[in-house]
Amino acid sequence: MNKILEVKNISKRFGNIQALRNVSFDVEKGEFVFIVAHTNAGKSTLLKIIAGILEPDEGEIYIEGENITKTPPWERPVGYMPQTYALFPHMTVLENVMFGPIHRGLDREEAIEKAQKYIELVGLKGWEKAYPHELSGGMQQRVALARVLAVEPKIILLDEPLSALDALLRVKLRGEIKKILKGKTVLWVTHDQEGAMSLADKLIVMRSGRIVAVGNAMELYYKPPSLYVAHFLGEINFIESVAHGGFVQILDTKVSTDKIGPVVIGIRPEDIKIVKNNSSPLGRVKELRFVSGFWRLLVDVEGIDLVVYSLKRIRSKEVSLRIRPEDVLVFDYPPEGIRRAVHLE
Amino acid sequence: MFSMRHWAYITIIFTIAFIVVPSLIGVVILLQLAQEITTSQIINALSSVMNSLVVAGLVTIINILVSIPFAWRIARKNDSLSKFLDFILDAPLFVPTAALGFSVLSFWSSGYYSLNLISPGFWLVVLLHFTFTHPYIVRTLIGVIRSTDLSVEVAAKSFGIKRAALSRTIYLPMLKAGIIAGALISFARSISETGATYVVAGPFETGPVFIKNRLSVDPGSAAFAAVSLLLVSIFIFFIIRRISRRRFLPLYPETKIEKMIGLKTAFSINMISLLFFAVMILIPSFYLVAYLSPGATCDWASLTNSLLLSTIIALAVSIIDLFFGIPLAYYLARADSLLRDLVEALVIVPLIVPTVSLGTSLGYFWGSFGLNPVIAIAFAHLSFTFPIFVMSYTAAIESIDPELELVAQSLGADTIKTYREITLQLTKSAIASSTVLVFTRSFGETGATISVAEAMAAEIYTLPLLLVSWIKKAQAGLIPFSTVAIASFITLIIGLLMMAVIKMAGGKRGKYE
Repeated sequence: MNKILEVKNISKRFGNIQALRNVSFDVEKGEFVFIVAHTNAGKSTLLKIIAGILEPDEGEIYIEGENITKTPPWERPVGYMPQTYALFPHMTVLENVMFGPIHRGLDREEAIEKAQKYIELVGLKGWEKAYPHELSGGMQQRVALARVLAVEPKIILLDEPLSALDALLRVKLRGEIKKILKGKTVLWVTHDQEGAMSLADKLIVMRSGRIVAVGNAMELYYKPPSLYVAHFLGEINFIESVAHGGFVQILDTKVSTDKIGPVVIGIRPEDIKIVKNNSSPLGRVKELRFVSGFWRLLVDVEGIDLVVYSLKRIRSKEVSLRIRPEDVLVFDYPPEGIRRAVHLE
Repeated sequence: MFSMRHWAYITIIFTIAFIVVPSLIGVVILLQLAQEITTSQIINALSSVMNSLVVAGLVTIINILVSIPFAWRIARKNDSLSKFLDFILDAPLFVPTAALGFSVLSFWSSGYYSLNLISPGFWLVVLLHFTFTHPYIVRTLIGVIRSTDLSVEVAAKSFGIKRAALSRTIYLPMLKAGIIAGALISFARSISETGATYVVAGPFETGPVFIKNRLSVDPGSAAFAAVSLLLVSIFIFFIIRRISRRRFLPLYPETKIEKMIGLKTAFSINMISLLFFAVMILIPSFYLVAYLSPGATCDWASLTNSLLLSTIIALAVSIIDLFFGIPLAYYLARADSLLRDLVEALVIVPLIVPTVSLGTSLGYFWGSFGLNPVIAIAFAHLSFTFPIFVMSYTAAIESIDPELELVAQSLGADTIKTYREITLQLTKSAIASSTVLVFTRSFGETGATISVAEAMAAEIYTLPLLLVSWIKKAQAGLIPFSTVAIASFITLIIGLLMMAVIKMAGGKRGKYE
């Protein structure tokens, strides 16, 4: 294994607020790792601690096996790009991108050469002499990216790099950034789980300063370790039920489980199939909404409201639903109740 | 490795050793004098301190109200009127305080072509204090406005709110640092000013005037007043600082009155602030020029010598202020600790100590080391200019986004390089305006300088001291007033020329602004 970054037991307090609690994880060479969390879960704090801008109260940071917890930010082989980009307003694009190489010890000629290479890579050739305020939001973001790339860090830390952009641009740039950063080791922090899942090699889910899940995006989506992760990574139906005799039932589907007593059944809306078979349970369509590309239905089946996605438009008032046992998730019933268990924080 | 933090700590030691302690030692000496005083002496002393607080409070509040639109206009509108105002703004500071007092007295009360409107007393003191506090508030505000990114104003306007509500919700909170810093400097200047106040006070006694009147006949009362003034001021400063950490103004929907206040009102507010500057500040400050008559002459050799001496002192003091003030301001702007609050409170001390007692105590203090009187005067000037520089520049740094510095560090620049290449570049205009403040303050200071010279029994004439001695001679009928007028006039012209040079050295405003 080729570990670039190791974060070990990091904790951080701000006054009465415990921003990070005992956070540990690794990032391997060439990995694209996403930390996803709701706002204020401590993800930006974590990034700042790795960049050396904040000091942790406890714990250590290692880069390629070397403890850098006490190393000042300017000697760390990491590249940090904040949410606001923080482009230097009094410097041109070229000067902004040169800033890193110059201070990492290159002479002027080499720094200019390196800066130009990365300005070209992010597609801003010809804009070297422009000032940040003369650029659009998307261009500013690419300057910030070039600036961080130009120091050729061992790991790149991105704090919500797309949050300041509009939705269309976001999707476009998401792909572009992935292309630009190909082969690099990246730790990307965001609250946008959809974006994260489409790009991540590894996903880390945080909640209130703790890591609650680590894994492959697909795995976490289909086999979430908790109600919170299941809910956070995408829309899901939760149904309260009771398991007995090694089984739990949803509609007419029997699912085998080793749990006993009260449980919560989880089923993704896209895993509930609308079928023409009359023997399947019938539900009444309460709501129908077009979400670009598919239809979102709220169906009342035997007193249970289920969200169902359909690629085809549904015109009838009633639909038959089928659920495959392998798509059903079974969780222990949380002592604090479902609502509290999935509360975003 | 050497970092901004080390530099700041060295500066803190310098500040305490050379600025704070010398200023306080005089107070300690005074305290011993104040041991045996009667209740009636205490009441008299305290009522003079109360008078000072009322004057300082009133002057500061009115000054802020009229200064914000004024500073805004100069900082944001780039027309020839702004340039002219920017140039003339500090002019009242070039008039040595004693001459300023005399000029204000001549304009409002009794003198050639005078208005004969207000006799010496409370209101004349207030009018006088406007003239020398106004430039500090406006200068500090301009520095902050220029280094603040105000693109949000466009965003805010797009919500359709009127100017008044816009000011409350957007502008004022953004200028908070500048308003607080300017108010503190103005308050401190007003509460400690002696030389000019003495001229216009009549029977009215502010704390410093009380101290000056009693210093030789009743040192106990003087000492008690000086110590009370100091303690009350430090307390008020600390409270203002603490309060200012909180949200500045409440966030509530646009009120009816605010809806009514439109652009026309904004225009008339601008006109009022301009008029205020002209009638209340500029003309009274330079009324001495009314004594100018054709063929007037003076002792040119003395004038040149004094001019040279004052320039050298002001220049040296400004350079030392810059050298030690920049790291300290950076520390105050970026640190968040009890030590920081303590240092900030201590830095202000020399500003609050009345200039007469400051001068006397510094004279004794540096005299006891056998220091050359000119150098002692420079040290005294350092004491009261350093806080001005530090407070004004701290406000400017506070308005720069710290994220820029953090990113620069992450890119490989250590704290000193980060300051040099990012923070300094973005606060150049604030450095220039803060330097203007300290240069003029040193150039025109009278009260403390006289006290140092007297305490050390030295015959030294800085420009203000020369003017004061000429005013005294003129009042005694020994020389014509036109001599004073021409000397004041020349002082002013040369002062403005030097200002222009400092501002140019501070660099033009960058392209990004």
